[in-house]
Amino acid sequence: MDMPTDAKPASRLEMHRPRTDDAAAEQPVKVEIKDLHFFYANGFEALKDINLVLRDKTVTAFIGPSGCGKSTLLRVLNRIYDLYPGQRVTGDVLLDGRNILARSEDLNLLRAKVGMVFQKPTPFPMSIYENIAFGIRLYDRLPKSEMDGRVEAALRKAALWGEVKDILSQSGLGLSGGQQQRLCIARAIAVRPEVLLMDEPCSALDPIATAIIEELIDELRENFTIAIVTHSMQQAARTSQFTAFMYLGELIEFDRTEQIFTAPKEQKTQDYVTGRFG
Amino acid sequence: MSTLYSQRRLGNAIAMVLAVAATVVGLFFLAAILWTLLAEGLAAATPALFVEMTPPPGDDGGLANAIFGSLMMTMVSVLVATPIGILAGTYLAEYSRGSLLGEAAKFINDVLLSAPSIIVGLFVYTTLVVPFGHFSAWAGAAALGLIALPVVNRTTQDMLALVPNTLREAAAALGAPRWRIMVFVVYRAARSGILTGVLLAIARVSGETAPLLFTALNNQFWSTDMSQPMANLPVVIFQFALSPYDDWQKLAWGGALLVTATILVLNIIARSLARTRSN
Repeated sequence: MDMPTDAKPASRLEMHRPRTDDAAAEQPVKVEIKDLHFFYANGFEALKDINLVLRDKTVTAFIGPSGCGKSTLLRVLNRIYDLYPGQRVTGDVLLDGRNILARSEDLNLLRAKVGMVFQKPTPFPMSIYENIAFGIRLYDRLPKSEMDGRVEAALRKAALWGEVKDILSQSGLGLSGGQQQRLCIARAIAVRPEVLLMDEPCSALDPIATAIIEELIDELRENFTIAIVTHSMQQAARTSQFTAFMYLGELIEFDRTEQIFTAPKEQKTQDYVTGRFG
Repeated sequence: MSTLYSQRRLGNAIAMVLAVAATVVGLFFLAAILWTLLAEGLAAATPALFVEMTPPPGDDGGLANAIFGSLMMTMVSVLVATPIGILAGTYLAEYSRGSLLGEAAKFINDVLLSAPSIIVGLFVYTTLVVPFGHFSAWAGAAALGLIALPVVNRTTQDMLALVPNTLREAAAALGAPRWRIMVFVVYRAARSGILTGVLLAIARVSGETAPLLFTALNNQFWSTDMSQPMANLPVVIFQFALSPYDDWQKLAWGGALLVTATILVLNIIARSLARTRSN
């Protein structure tokens, strides 16, 4: 696969994201989750008393065995669970200090601020260009030239521009899996969200595509607060500054990523990150 | 070779022979029908078939008025049934999930789907023919529409159910309101499937005879007045095929070939649409 030329991290030094984990820990709080419980329609409690914070322009990884509630937690943060009647939460999720779980919250505006990338690439059945423009059109009515600019900027940011700039009018479904996932990332960031939720974004991709996306996540930290769910502990270690280990709906340990992987405080975390269960 | 394995091979061979035999029997009768139809129908397939009116016995003629009537009534019925069927299918597949009303409506729609068409004909006869005192093409179109409606409704439901939920979630996650998700993403993903359903509905109604006997009846002359009885292929075929006159019977074969060819073409288009969809 060709590495897109515009994805080279040549400009790293000028970036403003916190360079060290110490600096990351000093970042202001973007999202604060307080006493969060989540119930499925059948009454099953999938999240039990979750408390943690996502810091601005950092990456927080959620790890844990299948069914531990990490994806569910992510789905609370943009209230996508609201699509399914019967699912409910208690507690608070504060985005910049405002409770997004409030009944009065405008879900469409919330989702404009909190974007999401899913496990399986989900390109819409339309052209590459229209895939990106779809989200932008929800919020801005732009003249063609400006729209072209926004589409290009999003594709560049998602490290996909070099590969698709000549085939923008072709269907997004014709791209490879890795390209489709970057298209979905581009689509999500084209809306200019503040928080980006990624639900196992690389689980359907090969190692090369995974590497491209992991590098991309690091770049995106410049502009977004990122929460990523992953089954790959290496991926959590490589991409995140903070890691939350969850088990059976509970948050077992939440700390700096380095701490979680080198000196976890909890025995369960230790067992999981060393591969003894899960 | 173990006995168990050879037994299994023998079982496989027997099942295979039976399956092939069943296929041959099925295809033989299909081929026989098509062959008879072609042999008898091609003789009647002249330009006159398309331009001349249905003749009195002993005269030359064609099926122009019947072709026109069938086209008109099919078109009106499908134009009315398609939007209603798609909207109803959308409601049942997307908005009424799990509700009692939705489940009941789905069930009733499935009953309607397999209801004998003669019942639909009788229903329209009592509601749109008797009160007005005469047969009419409107009543015929209504009967055909009632037959097409559950087909479009059901295919719409099925095709929307095939659209993965992740696509709806992805659009919702961008902050798209529900109607936009439906119109711009879900319909687009299900487009060729829904279109296939419409084509299959056309194919279904274009061969229906019983409901038209009670509603549009027939008309020996060229008529474009939808409030009057109108000729149509199925009823003309029915009437002419049962007649003792050779030239009427010949026209009936021509009409049968025409209807079959139309349905065949519609099915081929529907299948190729379905194939583009899965690619």
